[in-house]
Amino acid sequence: MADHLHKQIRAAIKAATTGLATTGANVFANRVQSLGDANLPGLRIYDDSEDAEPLTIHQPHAQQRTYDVLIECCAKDFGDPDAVTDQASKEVETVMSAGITVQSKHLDVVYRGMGRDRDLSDKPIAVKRLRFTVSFTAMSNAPDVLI
Amino acid sequence: MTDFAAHTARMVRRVGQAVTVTPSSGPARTITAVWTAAPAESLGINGFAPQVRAVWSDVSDLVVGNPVSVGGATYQISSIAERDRVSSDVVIGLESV
Repeated sequence: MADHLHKQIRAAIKAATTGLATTGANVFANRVQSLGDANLPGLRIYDDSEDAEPLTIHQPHAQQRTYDVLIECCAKDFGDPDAVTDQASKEVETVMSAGITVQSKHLDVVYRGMGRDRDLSDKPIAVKRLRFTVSFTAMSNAPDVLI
Repeated sequence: MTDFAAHTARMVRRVGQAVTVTPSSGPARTITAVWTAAPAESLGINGFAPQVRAVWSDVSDLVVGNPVSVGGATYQISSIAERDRVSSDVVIGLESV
């Protein structure tokens, strides 16, 4: 059995966002440890929530799923960390607009908005949180396979 | 109260280290202040909280943005806390430049 589609989608997003000009290889999926200076500027990829609707009457259902993913652009910069996260955000939004490929199928990744947090550490830090939605269909008894 | 303030100043100068400050209105000078850099994590990002505790009369002319050098590193004042009216020392927050 393959990995859950959630993991496959996060992996596809991580692959698509790795190597961007601002954040380079500093891309982390579902990371719980704090980021250090060597990891910045960087991206954190999390899943947030999912809604599912049955498309068929009898079980197992075909399901239409709407999967919410967060990509956090993180920076610590004496000058203007917001500017760094804005540049990272620009690169992420651009690459996500092309969608991702999972199990040889194209999935759209739709931008839904952003939020931002700031704080002062040894340098000012900023986190710009981008919200995306990925819609896909799967059977209720096979959440690892796109249909 | 004056005695307590005097003792506090002696403690700061006894356990402190050389810190170079540069006020907006004059040349750089070296004072003795207690330097700390406790680990500080925020928003899931590691960092530290550089600060100095100094005798108020040594730093009363400093303002946010003035440079401070300690241990070979240069910082900029990010905040100046309200001074303790009894002990008469003050905590100055710093940020790396």
